[in-house]
Amino acid sequence: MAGTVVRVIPKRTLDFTAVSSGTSQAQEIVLAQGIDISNWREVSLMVRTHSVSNLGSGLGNKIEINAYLEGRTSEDPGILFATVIPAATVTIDFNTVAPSYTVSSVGSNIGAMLKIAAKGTRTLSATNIRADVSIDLSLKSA
Amino acid sequence: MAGALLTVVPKRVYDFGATSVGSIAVITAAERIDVTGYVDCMLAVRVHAATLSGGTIAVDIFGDGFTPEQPALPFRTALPLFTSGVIPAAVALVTYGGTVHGQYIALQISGNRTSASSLVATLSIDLVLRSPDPS
Repeated sequence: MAGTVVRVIPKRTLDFTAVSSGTSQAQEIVLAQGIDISNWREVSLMVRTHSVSNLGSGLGNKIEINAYLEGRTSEDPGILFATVIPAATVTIDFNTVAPSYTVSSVGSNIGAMLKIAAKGTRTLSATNIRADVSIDLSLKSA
Repeated sequence: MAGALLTVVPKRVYDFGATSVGSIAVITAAERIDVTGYVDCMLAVRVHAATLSGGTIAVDIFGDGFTPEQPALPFRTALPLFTSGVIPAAVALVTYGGTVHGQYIALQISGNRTSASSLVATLSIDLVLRSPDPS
């Protein structure tokens, strides 16, 4: 039996209200990077939405919590190698009713490091894009 | 050792006879069950007695996102972690399970009352948690 929980961020407000309007305007911020998962076989992303603003019904405004695999190397420390497509995504949109809790499997037998980022997307309208979120990782050696 | 047996619900009567016809009553029987170190989860539901002429009773496992930052908020996954077994109207042992991701799980018993007849079951429930890791 072996497993642990790693806190990515405590309860925190993610506010993407300032993202400009237009066709799928988006902004992504890194919440944590270089998370060592090399000792674990299975990783799950746990996202709690403590509260969420009215994101506008059906307009495509959303906040995505993405987990990327990271491939840092001491041979080129200035470059943060990371996958382009997230290994796991939890989406907070107009369907999300707080409190909400989502567990998304990042996968098994994956790489050595993870990066967690939040991406706010505005499609239309001037509604707020804001949510209070806390994020943990569950690491298990299956 | 890479497993654990938890008696999460001792023998107990669940009577949904007062639930409105057409409604589902949900009881959280256990929550904040720590599965950090486990991957596989099996439920063993003993049906000691049951009268299910008024509907169906289900036992489901949900992800539980308890956090001390907001302990009053019930963080639950929207769907059960795996499909629940069918509780029969006779003495039986029903086992089912699947993979459990995350830190905590919660056990919910729901009664779906479809007619104005009895809907009651005497159940006891064990949880078997396992990890292939022998350490």
